Amino acid sequence: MGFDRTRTDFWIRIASAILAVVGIGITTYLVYERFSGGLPTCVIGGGCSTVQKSEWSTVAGVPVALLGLIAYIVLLVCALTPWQISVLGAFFVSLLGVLLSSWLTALELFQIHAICEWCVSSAVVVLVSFGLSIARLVLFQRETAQGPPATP
Amino acid sequence: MSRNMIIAIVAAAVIVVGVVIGIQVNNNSSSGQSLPLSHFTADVPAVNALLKGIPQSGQVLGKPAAKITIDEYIDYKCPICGQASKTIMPQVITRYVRTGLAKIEIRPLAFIGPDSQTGALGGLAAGQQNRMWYYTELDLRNQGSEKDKWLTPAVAAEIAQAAGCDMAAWNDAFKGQEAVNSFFTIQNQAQTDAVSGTPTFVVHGPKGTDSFSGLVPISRFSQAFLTVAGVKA
Repeated sequence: MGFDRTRTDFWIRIASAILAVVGIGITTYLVYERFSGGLPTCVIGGGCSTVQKSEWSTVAGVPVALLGLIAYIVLLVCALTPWQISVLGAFFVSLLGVLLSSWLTALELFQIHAICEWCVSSAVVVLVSFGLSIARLVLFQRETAQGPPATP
Repeated sequence: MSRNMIIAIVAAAVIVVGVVIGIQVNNNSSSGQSLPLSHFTADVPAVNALLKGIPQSGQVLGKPAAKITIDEYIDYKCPICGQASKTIMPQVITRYVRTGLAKIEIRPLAFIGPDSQTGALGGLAAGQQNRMWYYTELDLRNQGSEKDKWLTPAVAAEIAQAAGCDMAAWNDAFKGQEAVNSFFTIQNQAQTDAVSGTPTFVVHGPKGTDSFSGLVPISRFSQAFLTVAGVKA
């Protein structure tokens, strides 16, 4: 899958992959609860079920958690591949994630009046992923500008 | 990788998010929501869909001239009442109350804990604005644990707000004597009806009275209607 330890973005891609796996875990749990008819368990308070049952938890009938799961799978694929399209894809998807998470967190605070810890955790994961995607983009641009590394 | 390409990606992301937000806002503003949002908001659309268009007066849901009256004794903290609210009662309301055959009078008791009384007073205060059924359904669908003292005055106020109550009037009614008097009247009625648990249903009709309790199937209501009113429903 093109993991080259000598490349400058090696650790960024490793961290991105780990975060994507964490995000997949969170969203898989939420999707499972959604389709099994259950409600997610909150460690603090009972906001998770309120948010999950809210009319804001779907987009055109598609659960937001399912969209999140798809996004994290794409982020994982982008982290595991070295191509330019992966760099751009990670940047695009994580930016989408940050913008949508901001919107959904605002809804939780000001419209639903309940906080879902799983959703907040996912928001933090995607925010850090976005930061890493910017770092990877910058490194990729720098490497491209410098040309391929000279062979010894 | 040009700067223009990155700008195009950012623009595309903003457009996609704008479309998603637009879809959500459009769907949720056209869902016929007529109650304000609060912590109990999640079930507001479902409760609206269930109750909208059915007359409410005090504790009673349904047309005043309905042939059959169902007195439903509940405790706002009773988990079986919560289950009934999610399973049997929507069927009863849709089949029998909405059609005008029966009306239901909700009678809150305080079996489980002192905060059951808080919930009952909150419901009766909402009843003074003819919104007791919104309050009741939103409470029963969002109960905390039976063992916890979750039904505080603040939570009752949240439910009342979600139920669309005028909060200044509700606060006065919640602390007022009228709700307390109604509450004690109901406790006496429960003794007369020999209520020993919740939910208990006492069904009255022109031919008599039938009563049963617990999480019964809808057929038990049909049977009672036949007994008390000779109606096959």
